[in-house]
Amino acid sequence: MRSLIAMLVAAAALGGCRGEPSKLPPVHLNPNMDTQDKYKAYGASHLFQDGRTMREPPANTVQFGLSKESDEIYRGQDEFGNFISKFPVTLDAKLMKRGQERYDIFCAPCHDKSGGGKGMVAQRPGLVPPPSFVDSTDVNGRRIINMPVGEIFNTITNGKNTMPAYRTQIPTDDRWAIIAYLRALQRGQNARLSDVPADQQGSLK
Amino acid sequence: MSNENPGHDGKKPLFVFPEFHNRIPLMLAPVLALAPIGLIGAIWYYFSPSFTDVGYQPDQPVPYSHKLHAGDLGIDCRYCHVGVEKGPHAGVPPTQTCMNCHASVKKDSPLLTPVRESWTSGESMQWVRIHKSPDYVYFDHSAHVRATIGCEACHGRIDQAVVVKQEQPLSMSWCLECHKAPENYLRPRGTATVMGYKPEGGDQLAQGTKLKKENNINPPIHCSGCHR
Repeated sequence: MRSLIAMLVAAAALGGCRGEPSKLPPVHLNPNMDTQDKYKAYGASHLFQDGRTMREPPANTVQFGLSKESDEIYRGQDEFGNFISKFPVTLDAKLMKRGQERYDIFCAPCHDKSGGGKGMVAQRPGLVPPPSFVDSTDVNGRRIINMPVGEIFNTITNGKNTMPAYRTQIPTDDRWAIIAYLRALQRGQNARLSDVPADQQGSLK
Repeated sequence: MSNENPGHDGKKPLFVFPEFHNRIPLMLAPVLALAPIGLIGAIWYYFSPSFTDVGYQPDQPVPYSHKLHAGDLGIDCRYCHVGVEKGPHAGVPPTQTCMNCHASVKKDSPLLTPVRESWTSGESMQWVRIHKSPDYVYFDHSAHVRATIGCEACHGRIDQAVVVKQEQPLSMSWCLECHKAPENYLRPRGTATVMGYKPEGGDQLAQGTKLKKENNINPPIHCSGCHR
C-alpha cells in the first residue's frame, strides 16, 4: 500500500499539476490534427520572401468596395483641395455614440476623455502632451475649435507633429464619428445657457 | 516444503517456487482490475488541454506588460487588437502601433530594441503565439465580442498580467459549457473589454438570462457551429 501511494505521488510529481506556468510550448499527447500544415493569419510562411503568410495588396490595385473616390469622405477636401467645414456624413445619435466609443479607445490615451490633453499616455516622460482642443481660452484650443472638420480628418488620417497617423487603426467611417464626438466635446465645454433648450434652462439656473 | 528435494540426478537439490507464489495471481487481480481506472484517470488528467495548454507562458521578444498598458495606463484592448470586433482574429498589432507611442516614450530603452529594429527593417516582430485553438476549429472573436462575452472570460485578468499566460483550456467541453449556458457570462453590449466587470445588482444569472433573450443569443452547439 505504501509503495502504491509512493508511485502515485511520483507520477503526480513527474507530470506536474494542471495550470502550472510553463515556458515550454504545449505538447499534445494525442496530436489529433490539432496543428495542420496550413497557413493561418499572422503565421510564418516559408513561401514568401518576407516570411509572412498575410499578404499586402499588390501595387496599383484597389480593394473591392474601397475605391475611395469621394474626396470629401476619404480626404476631407472639396474638389479644389480645400478642407471641408461641413460633415460629409449624416450626423445622428448613433454616429455620436460610435464616435464616443472610438474616441475613448483611440484618442483618450493621450487627449483624455474630455479632450484636455491630459491622458495617461500623454503624461509619460518623452511624449509632448497634445494641446487641449476644448479650451477656448487657449490659442491652440481656439484654433482647433475653429478648424474645419476636413482638417481634423486629415490630422487623424495622416498624423501631425508627434501624433501618429491613425488611418490603419481607425476606418474612415469611425474617423468621421470621432470628429462628430470631438465637436460635441468642444461644444459641451464651451456651452452657454442659451444653448440649452428653453424649456430645460430653468433646471440649470 | 523442503529445499532438499533431490534433483533428477538425485544429487543437486531442485529449485522449487516458494509456496506464496501460488497467491500472486490472486494478489494481482485487484491491481489489474484497478489498472484501467488508473489509466483512464491519467488520460483524463494529463491528456486534457487543462494540463497540456493551461499555464503556457512563453518568453516574448519584448517583455511587454499588459498590466502597464491595459491596466495602469487604461488603454482599451481595441487600441491594439483592432480586429477583434470585425473578424475571427483579434490581431497582433503591427510594429507601427507600438511606435505610435514608443517613437517618443522610452525611445532609447534597450528592451525595445527589437521593436525599433522591426520598425527600421520592415521585418515582422517574432511574437510567440500563446492561445491557439486546434486547426479544425474556426473560432471567431467578432461573434463573441458582439454577443458580449467579456475578454476576461477567456483571457483572464489581462489588465493584471505582467506576463500573459493561457488561463483557460480552450477545450471543446470548455467551449460547450458556455455555449450551452451563455447566461453565465453574457454582459450588456459595449462592456466586453471592461476588466473586473460586476453585473448589475451582482446577479449574473438574472442579467445573463435577460440579455440572452433581449439580444437573441443562441450559441450553436451543433458540430458545424465551430467545425467546417
